Amino acid sequence: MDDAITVSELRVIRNGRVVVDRVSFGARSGMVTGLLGPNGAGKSSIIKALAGIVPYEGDVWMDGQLARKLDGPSRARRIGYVPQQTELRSGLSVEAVVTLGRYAHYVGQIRSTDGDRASVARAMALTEIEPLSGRSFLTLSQGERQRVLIARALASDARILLLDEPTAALDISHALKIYALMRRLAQRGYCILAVLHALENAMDWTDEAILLDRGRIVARGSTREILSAEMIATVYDVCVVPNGAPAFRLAPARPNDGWEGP
Amino acid sequence: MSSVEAPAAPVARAASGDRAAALATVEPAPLAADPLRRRLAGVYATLVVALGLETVASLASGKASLADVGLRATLLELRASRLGAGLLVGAALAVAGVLVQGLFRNPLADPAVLGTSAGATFGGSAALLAVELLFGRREFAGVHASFVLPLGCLAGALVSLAIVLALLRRSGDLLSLILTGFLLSSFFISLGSLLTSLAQERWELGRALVAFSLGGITGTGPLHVALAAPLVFVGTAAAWFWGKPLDALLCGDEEAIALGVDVAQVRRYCALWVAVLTAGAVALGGNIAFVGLLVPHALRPLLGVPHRRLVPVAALGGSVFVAACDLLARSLPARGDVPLGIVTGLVGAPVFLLLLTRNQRQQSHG
Repeated sequence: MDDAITVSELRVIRNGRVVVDRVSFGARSGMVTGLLGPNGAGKSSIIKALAGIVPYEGDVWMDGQLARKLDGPSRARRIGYVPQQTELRSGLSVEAVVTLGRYAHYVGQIRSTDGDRASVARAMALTEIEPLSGRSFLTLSQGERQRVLIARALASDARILLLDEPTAALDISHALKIYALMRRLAQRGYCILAVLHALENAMDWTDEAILLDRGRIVARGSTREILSAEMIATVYDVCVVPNGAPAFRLAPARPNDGWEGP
Repeated sequence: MSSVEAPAAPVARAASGDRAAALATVEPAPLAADPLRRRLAGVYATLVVALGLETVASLASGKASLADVGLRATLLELRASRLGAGLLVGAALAVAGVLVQGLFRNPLADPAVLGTSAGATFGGSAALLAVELLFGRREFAGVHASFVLPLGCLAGALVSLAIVLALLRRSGDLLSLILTGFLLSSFFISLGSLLTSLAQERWELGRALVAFSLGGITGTGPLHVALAAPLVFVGTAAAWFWGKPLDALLCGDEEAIALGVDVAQVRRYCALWVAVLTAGAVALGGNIAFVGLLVPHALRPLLGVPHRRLVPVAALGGSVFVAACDLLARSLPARGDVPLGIVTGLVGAPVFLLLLTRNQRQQSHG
């Protein structure tokens, strides 16, 4: 199976309403796959179903294993979840927050092992948060927090990352850093599935996209191909007017920071 | 399993380059961790010294003199039991405090919030009443009231816990849990008061029930302490064991589930261990106020939030606090001893207020 994650006939019902209706798709390793669509399209519900947070019908395979047959820790070792904003309100140190990602490996284990510490160090190196290690999580900026949450998801050794609007609360500079990080992780072989709102960012930073509307898939494939003016007009109920601007494109300050150019 | 681990391996090798870099950059971490380790050692040392001093003070001090050789052994046994009871009550309540505060993700939660303390108090009162009514005296065929009291408290706490868990099964959110605990508390307090008012017809029994519900460790014997001790030790060990998932729960239910935590299971077990710990505490000392709230709250600014670090220190800190309050209770000018529960409340409330204002000031200054 090529796909790191395969979803077949996924159906999610929340508060008696079908929010995801028999959706099937796959997401591959080494790619950033965007989950796009207007509000209420079911993007976050799909992410939460895959992370085991909300119940679902249908089948999900992660790394070739049927997700329903995995217990919580086994699932968490395969798939990492990054929320839009964390509910964490306690002054844990950054390192302690990242170490929480090792929980799935702790079951039946008293002390953390060298393997745990190596995974935590690797996750912090990948997200470039080592300088923050001893800081209290509560003293960080939103952008720094988001990178810590990504490190927490990576610390479980999961190869599939689910991100639910990871840049919603960030300014453009921090958002670009997160996009670049997603791209870097994909280059290292991770499977990245991210809910994104801003279509222009999705265009730049995702390889493939799944466009949803009212719980169903409208289009899927290469992001540049499916985000046509007609498709955007249909799904988002807006008029796409080319006006020649902007004449520039924003990129991370460091040119090689995962940016490959269009 | 292996089919999944396999694809990760090449990537792990690929990442080993930056892992080496990561380890190199993480090397200074022990330096950052050092102040914490020093603080931890300082807190432990202070508490152990305090505990030693309190032990000497409570064995040596009292109304009767140890100079009387004939009385010395008996006096020492009584004082040691009382000291042991105080230490266990303090440890149990402080650790139960850490547990409920983790469970509710709220540093202001008290062990009594689950209703198990009220359940245990009612169970203890009912047990005392039952022994008295059935056998007409405090001792029957070797079954001492001090044997029945811990069992009654445990039974009461477990009944209360069973109701909490049954309701938790239907709706697992924290608000229902807190409301259920509140309702159960009120219900069991009313039932307990009913028993006390019924018992007023028998003077001795009425006095015993009032003394029990006021909270005190005056009359505890060695058997009493030995019976309650396993509840406290097992509960404390379990609290330490559940520390990791409680840390993960600090991120909220959704993120904890994604991290692999079985949130419902953690809630059930933590509620069970709170019930066991409060049963132990109530069996030894009745209602002792503020310990579960105050001790973890005082320690958190020094040690941080991780539960496994907090549990053993809280056990020690609770012991020291309650033993100190008991020494104070003995030295207050009163005809008899002032009930311990009153002293912990009188000392605890102002200290807690002080901690709250200090924390607020620290927060407002960044």
